[in-house]
Amino acid sequence: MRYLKFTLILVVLLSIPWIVQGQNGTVQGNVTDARTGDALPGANIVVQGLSLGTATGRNGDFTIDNVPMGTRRIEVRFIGYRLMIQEVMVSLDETVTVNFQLEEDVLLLDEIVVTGTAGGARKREIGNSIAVLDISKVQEPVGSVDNLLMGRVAGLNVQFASGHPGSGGMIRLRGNNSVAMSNSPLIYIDGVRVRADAYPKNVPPVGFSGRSSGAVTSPLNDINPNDIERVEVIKGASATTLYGTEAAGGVIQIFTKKGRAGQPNWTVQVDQGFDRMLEYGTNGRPFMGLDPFIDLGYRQKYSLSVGGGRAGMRYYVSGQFNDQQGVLPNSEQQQGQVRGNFGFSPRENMQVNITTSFTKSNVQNPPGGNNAHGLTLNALRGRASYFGDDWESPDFQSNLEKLLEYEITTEVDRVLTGAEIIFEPLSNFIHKFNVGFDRSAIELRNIRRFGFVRAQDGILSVENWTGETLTLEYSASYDWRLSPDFRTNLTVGGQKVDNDVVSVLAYGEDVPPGEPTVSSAAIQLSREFREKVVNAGFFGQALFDFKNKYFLTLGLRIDGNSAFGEDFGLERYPKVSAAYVISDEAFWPGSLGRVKLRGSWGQAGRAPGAFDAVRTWDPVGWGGQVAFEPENVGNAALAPERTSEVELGFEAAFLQERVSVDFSWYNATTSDALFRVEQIPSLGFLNTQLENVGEINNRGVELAVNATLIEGRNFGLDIGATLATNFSKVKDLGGASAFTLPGAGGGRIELGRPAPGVVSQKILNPDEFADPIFALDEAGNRDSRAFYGPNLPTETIGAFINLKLPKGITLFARGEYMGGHYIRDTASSNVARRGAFTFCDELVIGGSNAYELIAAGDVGGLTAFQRAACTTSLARGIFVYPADFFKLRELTLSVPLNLRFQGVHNMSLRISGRNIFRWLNDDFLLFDPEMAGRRGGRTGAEVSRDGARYIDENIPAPSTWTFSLRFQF
Amino acid sequence: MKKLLNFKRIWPLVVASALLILGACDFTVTNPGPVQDEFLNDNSANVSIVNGAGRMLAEALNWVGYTGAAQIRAITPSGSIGSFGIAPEVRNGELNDDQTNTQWNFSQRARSVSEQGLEHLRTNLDADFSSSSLAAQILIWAAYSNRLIGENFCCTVIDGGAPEPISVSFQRAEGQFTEAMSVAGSAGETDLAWAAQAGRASVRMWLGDWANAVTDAQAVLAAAGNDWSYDMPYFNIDLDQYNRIYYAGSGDGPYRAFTVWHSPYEETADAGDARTPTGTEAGEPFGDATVDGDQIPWSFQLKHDQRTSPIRLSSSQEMQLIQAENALLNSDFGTAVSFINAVRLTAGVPDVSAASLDEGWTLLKREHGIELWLEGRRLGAIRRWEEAGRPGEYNFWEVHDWKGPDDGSGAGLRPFSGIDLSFPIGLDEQDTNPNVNEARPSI
Repeated sequence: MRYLKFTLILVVLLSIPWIVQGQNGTVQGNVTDARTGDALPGANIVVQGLSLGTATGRNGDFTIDNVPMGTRRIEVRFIGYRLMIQEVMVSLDETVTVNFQLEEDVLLLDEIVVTGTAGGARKREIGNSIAVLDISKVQEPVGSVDNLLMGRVAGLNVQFASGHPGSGGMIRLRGNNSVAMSNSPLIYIDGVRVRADAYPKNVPPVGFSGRSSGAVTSPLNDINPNDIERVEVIKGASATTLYGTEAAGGVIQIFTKKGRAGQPNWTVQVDQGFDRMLEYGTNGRPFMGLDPFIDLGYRQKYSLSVGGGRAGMRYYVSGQFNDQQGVLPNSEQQQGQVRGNFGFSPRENMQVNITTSFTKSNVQNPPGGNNAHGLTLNALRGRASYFGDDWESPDFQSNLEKLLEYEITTEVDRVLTGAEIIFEPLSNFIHKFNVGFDRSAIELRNIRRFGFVRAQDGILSVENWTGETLTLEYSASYDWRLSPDFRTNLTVGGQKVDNDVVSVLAYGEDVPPGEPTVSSAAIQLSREFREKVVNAGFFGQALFDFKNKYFLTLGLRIDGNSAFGEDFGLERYPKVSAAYVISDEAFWPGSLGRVKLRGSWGQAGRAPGAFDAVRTWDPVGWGGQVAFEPENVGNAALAPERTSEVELGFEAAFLQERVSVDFSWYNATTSDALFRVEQIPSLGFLNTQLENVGEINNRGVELAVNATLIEGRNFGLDIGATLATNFSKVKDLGGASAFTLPGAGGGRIELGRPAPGVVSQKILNPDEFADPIFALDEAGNRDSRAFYGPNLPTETIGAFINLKLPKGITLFARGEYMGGHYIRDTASSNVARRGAFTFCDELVIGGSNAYELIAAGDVGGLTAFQRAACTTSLARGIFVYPADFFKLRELTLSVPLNLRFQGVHNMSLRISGRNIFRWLNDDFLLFDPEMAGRRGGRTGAEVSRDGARYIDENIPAPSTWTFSLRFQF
Repeated sequence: MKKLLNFKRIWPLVVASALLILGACDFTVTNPGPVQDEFLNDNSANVSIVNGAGRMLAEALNWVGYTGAAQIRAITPSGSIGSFGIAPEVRNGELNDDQTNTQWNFSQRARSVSEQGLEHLRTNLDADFSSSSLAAQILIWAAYSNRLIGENFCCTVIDGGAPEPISVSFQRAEGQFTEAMSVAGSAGETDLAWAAQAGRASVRMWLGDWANAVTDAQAVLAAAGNDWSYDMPYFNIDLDQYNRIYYAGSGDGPYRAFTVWHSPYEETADAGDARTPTGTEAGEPFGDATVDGDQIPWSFQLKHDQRTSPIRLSSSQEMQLIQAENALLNSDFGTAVSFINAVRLTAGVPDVSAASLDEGWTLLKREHGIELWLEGRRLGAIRRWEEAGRPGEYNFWEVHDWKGPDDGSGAGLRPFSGIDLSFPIGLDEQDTNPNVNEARPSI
């Protein structure tokens, strides 16, 4: 029954193709590659100034019906090729033929990208780096949006938190430029602003905040990656100015498939695969005590979509069912998704696009993380677990299995809908109006039934959480050609975004046997949380184009936000950028290829939280009565933090477009940075207060190089590499003291150090065969804040190789290295302090393990680090590792299947492995550097607060193998 | 240009812009939930202000009392080292500023919130303050907060100032107790008046004003009798309102973090003294985790036998012990023992006797430990005795490592002179308060 509604919706949506198909056209032709003569299926054909268009079919042919009489400009766009426009004379009841031979364009200079303007902009005009990810070029069967983004764009980092189904990755564009607010980029899907931060953590509202699975569910998982057509990544503040107050972390624009005029094009895809955990422990316990529980996690996915349309109308409808088992017991995600994208033209100069998707997910995770009731913690601790069973004990596994009765489920209903109206009263005057609504309704149940081994009387909590984002946006662009060489484009617009979060939690203790509800609990508690934030602003932008090679853009956004302090007014974000296609100059030798130079400066911001400006008291209870607890000191002058960025770079293509280079240097400074300034405890308010006191600098370079080394009909070889660096530094603390970020990651903000840096206790002679010498503080005590290094990677290197073989077979491999950062391992610290560290058990010299050697005083064979790690009173906080790693992100074999079925025109089999190989720094002791501790908080308001990443009692993301069969008809 | 000005063509722009201008300019959002500061200036907020002060003190007492008990070996660690557990450093006798930050913060919050609340009530109640039950109650909470800091911390800091000796806290407490006595008397709150006078007796003792301390103690005993107490309540509403000492060591919660095994009170429990009741649970012979790789026998305390068990702040028994200590200071160990036996009589245990002043001190230290067990008072008392070099012996397990041996060999000796007998200034205070530079400043 759970998916009956989903199935009915899918059936209705999929029947639409039969309703709208059929019609003839009056402009026809074909599109081919100018160099090879190969047909180019899927190229976009548009009649300029009209909402008429189509796409080429399998053999490159196209037909457009009902084109009005007169001289018409037919425009052809295809990713990877230069824009081509031809004029045709259309006469009544005639069919005119026009053919296009497109030239390759690896720089995509004439590609239209979305930058906040009504009509978009050509890449050649833009002074910033904008990465465009064309999904048709992605080889692997993509499991999630996180996977899609990982390692493909220089400067975009995705790191997975845990190996539980449903959990998502942490996305960062050019590192962290905020230490108090979310660093997640804004995410738009088809122009609709959607939730970017993780969903709330499934944890009871009272008690220890780790009583969960240790994972949070990602809203990005609600998007069917097979629906995506392309992704635009706008990385820096200089590029995101028009997005305003909340865009300092960058913007990711996702565009889903729209369908093209013509016969219905059906796509069926079946994915089968499994997750396999790579060893992350010691030789004796490769899964750190979870060995009896780790298994292959089976995954299956079934996708169906159809796209098509006729003149004036197009559609794309899809559905997907996804079932993923985790590598641990009681670990599963089931997900159904449907989408309908429709576009129509109510009049010749108006286009209406409507997009709607619905996702239903059920996620179950075993209790994990730093959780005394959890499987992962107790397995790791063995004889120091809450059962006290040594790993070799016959009771070890059976006792831990009792913890699997702890039920943690998350059910997500996500509706995302939006409408876009594009109105062109004149061919050079475009209005665009967008309205979008994103609603996530989640039920989080956290149940320990009566008789549960660690809470005999039973405890349960239920949270109903809804998050809504309503976006209204209008923009108008007027394109004015003053002379043949000079053109200007003016854009004005406004945007309003309402974010609402409502959370109602119920909690009960002492429940009866059986299936409990909170109502049946002897002790009952409830919590309610509501938060609304309104952001609205106006923007204007002027583009000056001289000779189609010199471009200057000026822009300004003015924002207000309900979270600003009452003494603070509106915020202004200016920008200026320039682009110069130097290779279009007469003096430029053709042998040097094509080059575009660009530079930009701009600002974007990030708003404080809803309650941060006001001095408040929390009305907590005390014995059934209200009691006021100090909450927030308040700051009436609270303002957004402002990131100013300078970016310089170039894009180039050489050797007949066989080699392309994209280089950027950026320097971003966040001033008025919001710091959670610790308050003086003796003044009574223990919570931190946001203040605009800091300054953080991020700088780095991004380089992407792609090359076609061999290109033949039966054999080809493409290679590519990306390099991204990011060095952050706290430049000013504004008089505030250095402070520690929340969480156990040892994240600390100190003057002159990275944001965040990792601090912890530190052994200065770890490899010496001597007693450990600790870093000391000024008072001569062991320094718990000895500095290690940045928590985020300073260097990311990606590389791919694509081998094209006869019969269309391709073998694609892509790897990623991240390095220069440190991560704290609290899981090892916790177990070492309890004297039950597997590492020490297996450190055997002369028949005695490290514990026995230390007890006997026979420590000569142990290094300083080993002596400390195996001494309970010295082991605290010493497990901080250099987190450099390399992973083989993707290895995909793609085989076209030339099987002949009626109507089937494209069939392929793909076998893909993800993260199947890993290299770690020699000093990385245990676990995986991409793990992250307790991300997320109890309510939607907390989830955006980022501490330093750290390793806790959890499992890393597993490797994945997928076998995918796709056919189109 | 003419076309551009055609209204029919630009109407969408005009309408949409107008809508956006209207919508975009309204940034007024009222989010429900937190109480804005202005509301505290209203009389309707008084009850919640006083409750807030009480809850803050209850939380501070929870944390200080539990960790302090572990520090002076009133309990033995048997498991967890995080959450409700006992950190290895505390097991080793260290109270470090980074690990006891919460104790400092909560104690300071309790003091500050009650004193801020006090001023709110003075303003809100105006002339009615001097006879208000709520005013008496918040004065009591403020005074006990100051006493908690004075008894348990190395030093004090008032409202972001420089470190000051603990006598400053006791002096503030004395003033607040004195005012509370007056206000409670006017309000007809007898119990609050006794609580104020009993509290004043205890802080006067710390201030060395023994004569007035004894006068207060006698007055309380005369008025309230030999078995009266003023308690800090705890509630079964949520975890922060539980009695933490109970929850950390009971079979009811997830933690069996401490045991009475190899503590001084294992012996008294075995002897049937009802003031140190203990229990065991079938099927749970050990604590919730190993300690240094060993499983520790779990015998749980039953003095606080529920989440809602109150913790005494003042009692008739404490008043007797104040008088006993005063007698010992006057070398009158006979009188001292009579006060001790008055306490024991109330408890229903046999009398004791002393043959010397040293034995008198030994009996006082022992009785104090039993009577005020797990009430957050013992750490301070030991510090006071150690600093003054008082004679007398402690119980064996108070000054020996819990691992033993208890064979009389002297092995495992861990005297109080070798461990921290007060909490330091918390790390947050050192980080944020420009007037504070170190954890244990010399004052």
